[in-house]
Amino acid sequence: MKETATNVLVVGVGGQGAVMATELTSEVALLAGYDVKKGEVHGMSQRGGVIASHVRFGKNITSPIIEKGEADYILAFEAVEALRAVDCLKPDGTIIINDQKIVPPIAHFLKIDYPDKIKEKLENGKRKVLIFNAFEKAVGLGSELLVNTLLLGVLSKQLKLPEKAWKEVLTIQFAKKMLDKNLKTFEAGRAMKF
Amino acid sequence: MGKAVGDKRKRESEGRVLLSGNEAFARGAYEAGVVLASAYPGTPSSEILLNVAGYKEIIADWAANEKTAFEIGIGAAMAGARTMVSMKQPGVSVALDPLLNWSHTGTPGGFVLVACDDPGQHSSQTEDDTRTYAKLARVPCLDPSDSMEAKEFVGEALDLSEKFDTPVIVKSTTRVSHSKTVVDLYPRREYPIKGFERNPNKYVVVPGRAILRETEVIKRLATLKEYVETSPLNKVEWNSKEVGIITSGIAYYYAKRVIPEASFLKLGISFPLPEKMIKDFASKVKKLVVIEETRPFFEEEMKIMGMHDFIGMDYFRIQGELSPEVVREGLKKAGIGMKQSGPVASAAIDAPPRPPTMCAGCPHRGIFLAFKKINANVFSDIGCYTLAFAPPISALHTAICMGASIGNAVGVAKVGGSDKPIIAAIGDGTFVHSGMTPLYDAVYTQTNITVVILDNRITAMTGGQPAAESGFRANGSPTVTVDLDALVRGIGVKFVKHVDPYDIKGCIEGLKEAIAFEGPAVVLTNRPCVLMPKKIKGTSYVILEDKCTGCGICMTVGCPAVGMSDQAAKKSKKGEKARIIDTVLCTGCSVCAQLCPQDAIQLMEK
Ligand SMILES: Cc1ncc(C[n+]2csc(CCOP(=O)(O)OP(=O)(O)O)c2C)c(N)n1
Repeated sequence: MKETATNVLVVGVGGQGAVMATELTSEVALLAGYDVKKGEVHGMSQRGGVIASHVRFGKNITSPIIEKGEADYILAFEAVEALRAVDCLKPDGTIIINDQKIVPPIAHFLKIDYPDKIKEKLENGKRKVLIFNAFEKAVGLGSELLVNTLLLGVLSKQLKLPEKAWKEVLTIQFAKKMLDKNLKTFEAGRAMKF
Repeated sequence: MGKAVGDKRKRESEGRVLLSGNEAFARGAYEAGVVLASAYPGTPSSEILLNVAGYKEIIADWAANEKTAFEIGIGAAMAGARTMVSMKQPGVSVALDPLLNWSHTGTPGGFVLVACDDPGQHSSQTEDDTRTYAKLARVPCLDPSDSMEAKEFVGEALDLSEKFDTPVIVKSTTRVSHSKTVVDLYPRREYPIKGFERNPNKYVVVPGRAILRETEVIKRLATLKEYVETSPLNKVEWNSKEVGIITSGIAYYYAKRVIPEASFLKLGISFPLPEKMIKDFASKVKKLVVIEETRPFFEEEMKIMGMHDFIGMDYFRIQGELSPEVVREGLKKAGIGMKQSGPVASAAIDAPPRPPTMCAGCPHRGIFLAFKKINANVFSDIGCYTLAFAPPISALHTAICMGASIGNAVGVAKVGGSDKPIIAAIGDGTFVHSGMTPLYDAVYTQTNITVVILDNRITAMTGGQPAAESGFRANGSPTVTVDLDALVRGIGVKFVKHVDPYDIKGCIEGLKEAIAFEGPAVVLTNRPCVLMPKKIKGTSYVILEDKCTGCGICMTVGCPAVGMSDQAAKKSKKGEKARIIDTVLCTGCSVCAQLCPQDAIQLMEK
């Protein structure tokens, strides 16, 4: 049986919520009737290390990991992590970046500069680069805790998964108190223009 | 599973969900009627017991170490209860003695050991292969490829265990344990607990009896070899007979991804191997390929069977994880054509490294800075504190395996091999795991070492599992707290001192006293982990810009809250040299403030 897959790679710094983002994306894909596999390695990454979480959905999904050059979409919770992950992106893939800098502590010690011109570095041929400061926008929408949902809103607009399934999963995910705010934030993400 | 039984279970399905392999092992224990689960934490296995503890039908606890976890499991199985024990692969080394003996005696209740390998060493000290232990112990080893199999294989293993009177291993890997795949849920089956029945001839391993058991183990292995030839867990999938692939675990899916047109012999049981089935498969395909992860185990077994004409490990990888890419490249190298070509990697872009660091406010930081100040030789151990080996802290000189620190320090001291003070630095979790016995050695021989127990009251490195120092159990219920002070005095230590690891001067003084003491001395730190079980957040410190000279000493504490931002650099007259504390991350531990020569780091005013 042949595999057909959409590949979404979510990257960030341990503790930012990258795993939660793939968790929700894979639940949406399951609800939409797809075969799904999601993979990541957790362990040391909790201590401020790199986290990369893979979701593959479609028909007869085999491997749970996305190969280099195979990601249709990359969602980067942090700008440097977008650079680190870009070799996984398809030549015509889309990369969504939260333009928030988290300087690795070791960079100070090693006297390495935080890279600049991230967008320019990533823009290459047919790639689509959607970059914005999700942290600031989330604070504007009410709380820094909304970063995750905002980014999912942006991602969901790109993916061919039914909006209804997204909302259903968000409704299960968030407690009543928080749901309204999250649904609004999700909408705001979907409505963003780049 | 027979077909009729399979159909019945499908009808009873309780739904379809996404589970990680580890969640699925836990669900498998629940469905298969496991009564007791016993484990020791270790990545990538820890979430198994965590999830089991969520089922009220199963008694689930963290044990002191893998050996006691295993022995508690033996006890439950001796009472005829279905039992699951879980650990990471290096833990199986710790539990090897009971495993080998339990294989000899056989088990009255179903007994499964779930052991998780970590090819690629994402978070392990060694890259070993559980299948080699299964062979050593002569017990069956099942090898699931995804979460559905992870769940089902727990039940299969328990059935086999009861049928063949043997403990059974289910082997996982990081990818199987941590990937989520689709699982069908079934209801729980109950098995009555038979109760302990005396049978000393079988369960007392004195030599005169044990030799009889050895005969039984040899017979059992022969029976198992017959069984695996027809077991439904070993499956042949016929496609093109040009290429035949023998594989197991996650490697099966990598191979399916890369060359779905090939024929497959998927081994659900990776020890013992079905010799007839393998030879039959081999005889029907033009080219035979063995794709396996970690060690060339199938390859060596097949060579013992007299088979040599196949493409094996050398073509793929002898270290680290497999991946579809590695499989594809290996097949290419072996001259095997594939219908699909692989993706082409995009050009990489340089990014600064982001290694894991000690958290802001970690209680291990201050005490290690004190070790550095007194220039001790620090024999250490495995836990979050091992991160102190890396720059900028760089204050830890050995870490061999869990519990090794104290014994290592004793050995160095005995031969007079250190011109600097000798410190054994060990976490509370690791001390309970295997530090008490070497402390006994230090007391017994009155060896002059200083043992520092870094008591953060939790097993932090592996995700915050409780231990005897934590005061609660795996399901969150409260329990007594073991008093480490009384414990070490009980072993016979005459010098015991408590220090606050946030107080660098206090630590240095305490350490100096301990080092001056003739004989083994113990220093205990007294601050809990800042993350687990509760996040601790005190008032943040800030850097007073007019006092800061930008000397950078505050950066030598390796704290993620102390740094420099472009905004700060732009705003400040000091430019490049501007330092800043992230007040969200800073927990107020004060360690950086103690080191600042300008007194420029002060508590933030509210
Ligand atoms: C034999 C073995 N079992 C389990 C592990 C996984 N492991 C790594 S560190 C650790 C314990 C850490 O606890 P502790 O010593 O209290 O240090 P902390 O991380 O809390 O600072 C464990 C269980 C291992 N490395 N080796």
